[in-house]
Amino acid sequence: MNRFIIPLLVFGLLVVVFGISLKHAPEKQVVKSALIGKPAPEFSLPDLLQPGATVNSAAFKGRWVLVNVWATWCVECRAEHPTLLDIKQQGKVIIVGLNYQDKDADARQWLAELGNPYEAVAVDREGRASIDYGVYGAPENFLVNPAGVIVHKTWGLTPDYWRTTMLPLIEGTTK
Amino acid sequence: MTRTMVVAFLALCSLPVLAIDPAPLLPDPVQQARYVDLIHQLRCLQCQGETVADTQAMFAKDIRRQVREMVQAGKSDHEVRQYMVDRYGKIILLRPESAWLWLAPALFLLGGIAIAWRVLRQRRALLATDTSEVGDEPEQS
Amino acid sequence: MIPEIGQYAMILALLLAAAQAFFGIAGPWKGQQRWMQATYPAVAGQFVLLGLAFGCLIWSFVHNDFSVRMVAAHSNSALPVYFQVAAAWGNHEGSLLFWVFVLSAWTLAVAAFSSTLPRPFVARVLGVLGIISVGFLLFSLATSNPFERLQPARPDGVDLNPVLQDFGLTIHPPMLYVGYVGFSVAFAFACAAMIEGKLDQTWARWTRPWTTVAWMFLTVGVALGSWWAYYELGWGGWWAWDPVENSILMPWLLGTALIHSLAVTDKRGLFKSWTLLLAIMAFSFCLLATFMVRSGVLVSVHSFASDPTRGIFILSFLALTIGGALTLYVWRAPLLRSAAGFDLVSRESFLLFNNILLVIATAVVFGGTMAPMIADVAGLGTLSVGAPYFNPTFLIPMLPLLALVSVGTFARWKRGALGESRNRILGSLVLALILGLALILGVYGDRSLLGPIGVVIGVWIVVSSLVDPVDRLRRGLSISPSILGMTLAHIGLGVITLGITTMEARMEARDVALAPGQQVELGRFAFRFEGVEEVDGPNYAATRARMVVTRDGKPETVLFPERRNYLVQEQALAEASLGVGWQRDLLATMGEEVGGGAWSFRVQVRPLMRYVWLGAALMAFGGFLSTLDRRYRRRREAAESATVAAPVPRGDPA
Repeated sequence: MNRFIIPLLVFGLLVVVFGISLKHAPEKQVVKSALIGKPAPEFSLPDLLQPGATVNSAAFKGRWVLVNVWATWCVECRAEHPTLLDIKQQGKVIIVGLNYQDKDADARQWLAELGNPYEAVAVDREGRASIDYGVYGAPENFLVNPAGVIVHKTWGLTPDYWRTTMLPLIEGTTK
Repeated sequence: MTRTMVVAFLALCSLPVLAIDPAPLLPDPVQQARYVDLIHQLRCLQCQGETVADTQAMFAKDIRRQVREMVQAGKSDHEVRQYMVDRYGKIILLRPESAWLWLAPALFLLGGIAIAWRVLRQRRALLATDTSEVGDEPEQS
Repeated sequence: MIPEIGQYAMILALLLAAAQAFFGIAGPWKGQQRWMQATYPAVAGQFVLLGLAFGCLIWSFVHNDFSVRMVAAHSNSALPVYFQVAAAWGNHEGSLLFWVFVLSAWTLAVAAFSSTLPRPFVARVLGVLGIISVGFLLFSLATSNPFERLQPARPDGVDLNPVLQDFGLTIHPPMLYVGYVGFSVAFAFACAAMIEGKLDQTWARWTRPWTTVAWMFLTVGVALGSWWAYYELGWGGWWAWDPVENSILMPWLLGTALIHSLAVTDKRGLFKSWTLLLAIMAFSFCLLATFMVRSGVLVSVHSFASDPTRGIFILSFLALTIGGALTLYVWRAPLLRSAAGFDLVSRESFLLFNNILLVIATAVVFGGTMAPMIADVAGLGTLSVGAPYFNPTFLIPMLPLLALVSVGTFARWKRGALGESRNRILGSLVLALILGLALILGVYGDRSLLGPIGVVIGVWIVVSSLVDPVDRLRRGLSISPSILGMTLAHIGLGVITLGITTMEARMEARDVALAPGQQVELGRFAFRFEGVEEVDGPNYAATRARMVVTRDGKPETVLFPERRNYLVQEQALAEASLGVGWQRDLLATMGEEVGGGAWSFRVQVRPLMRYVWLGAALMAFGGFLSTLDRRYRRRREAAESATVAAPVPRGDPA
């Protein structure tokens, strides 16, 4: 056996690894959250639209909830906004906003201009609820079932992704 | 540009604000040292490849604050790491826990020593038959 | 119009590259002198055409032609002209064109300076370089066309990423690319020798100067990248072990190993098959680095989701060129046998250790960089590998390597003659111990373990590198450029070791909020914040702080850290301010306003930071000097006179 074949074999193996990695590329866009299958973290935070009131996550138990992390400095959030309005129209879930690292006045202005898809918007100025949700950017979306368990997480929503991936998760169990 | 990827993530990083975290030193120097050590082990997920200690992203600032509070509350290093893994997954640990990764460099070194030993033995044996003359210059290139 | 000219020039260059590849390989195979001859005009034509294409790209950038997609996406009419030019290679598409242009320049140099080498051999080298050029041009034209038009044109561009608007980063990629591409010459020489099957040590001799020059550029490129990260990113990090930096470091480590193994192969005819393999590996990692950075194979596979053809193309190209070379290797390497012997203590054995340790270092970096991807492919979940892994594990091969440099410089070829050098070795070690410990304990008062070890090793390398040249001077012997180059490069290594370990062991940093008039103390230094002013740049508006630094109460320097808001990209960026000195660097980075006129700052004191760059510069300069050696120059003079005598390559009379 020719020992000089070893480099070629190692190289071949690497090409295979790269190849598999390339093939998996599209799936990687959905970063798996460590929280899938676990109870959604509880939070109790100031309400953006009703000064003085608090948004309590416990209040949404028993319904399908889409927790949407957003901020006015986030470009993708603006692109995502019409999809959220559309989802609200469909009425399959309620959307709870988590306003991430933002200024209240900017956020109110944004909703006044673009429309408000949210059942309630919690202000997470300290970023603590965001840490509990494992958030590190915006937008992020968590789908929480009526039992309060996170069943899916994704980045920015597109109408397609909502229809083909997330909606079946809801309908599969409500049918 | 060689650093496009880094730069792309940096762009993400610096979008909201540049967040240097001007927290005072922890009163207990042992806790301060542990805090500094821990933030060097956590990855800034907003900017990839950088530690939470070395970036000015909002995310890093929040995580630093969280680590500081946990250290101050008397949590162990393991508890802090576990807290982060529970929320963000293992990807947040820049010091991987895989034993293979830690063994590999030592195995490479052992392999290297074995190869060097074999080559040296062969070449010493050949000295007896090798009559070539080599100049004494250290480098005659 | 101009972009289309560039486009056609690229297509024509592709045809010429194909011709060069075909005639270069087929000519010697069929024994066709005319075919071999045809490679020369193809090389020259390609250089001219690619120069023209690259010129057209720069023209489009400088003339704000926002109908070209690259220009619209990476430039802006308010961007200073200097950065508009740099923006041409500041993106994936443009940098690929730059890569092939540099390749054509190296190829031209090989064609011009190799007139004393056997013609069939040169033809094969040019043929192999032609194949690489074809691959890159195909990739560029098929998946990453820099001249793509926008319909309709944009009124103005979205500007160059502010982080890239910096002198260091405008010259860092060109240096790096010249280095990467330079290793294609060593690769081509190795492939040509394997195709030919005449694998005596002459190919190693021919390869040496080319490899050293490529290594020199790579050294400068690596150092510039680190320097840029250090001062431009603003938080004092100079090496983060991110995948991109790792991808740059690996070719450098292998290139360094290659330079040393070429010396052994050239001098003693030893390690021939190993040197071939190293030449192939070094270039493979250069390709990997180019593609990894450009396309993010390792960093993030996200970028492929939009255009998977790029990834598939890259992988196929790698499989063909590297796979082809390694297949040749399987066939030819068994023919290489050497009967040369050497003793345990000899220059050969130390160079063997050098190679083994450098390859282990590369393997450690490669393993760590690949681990997340392998874990993912193997279904083991996600993981990250960062500085807390690389810092300790990289030392496993590096510490013995650095410790052996000093002893190695004293060893003689073939037979151990350490006896006569023993006093020198011990003497230099004692001197290093005294100097090193005095420095680290006396001046810096260090308590860590690594600091003193690193400093002693660093000083030892510097001192022992000087012994031999000083001895030669005393005996009235001349020092050849190659010895001087080697000495300087080794001193550079010692200086880097000294700088890094002292700096890492002794640096101090604080994040702090200061109101005007307040100060923060860091060791003997005090940083006093005196207030902010607004300043306007060409394409940004900035808030600039004034910070007076005193040492033991005496004024030291004034720093002006800035927070810039780039108007087009609406991006805020911290511009750190540096107080550079031979004893320490002082850094101040500005954060955000925290209320009441107070701002957040990060202030740092980094002792001996300069010596990291100084050491890198010494290494590169040493490499440059060693290529000036008479042995190479003689040949070059011969080559030049040959080209002067025959500007158009003549038919081989043989």
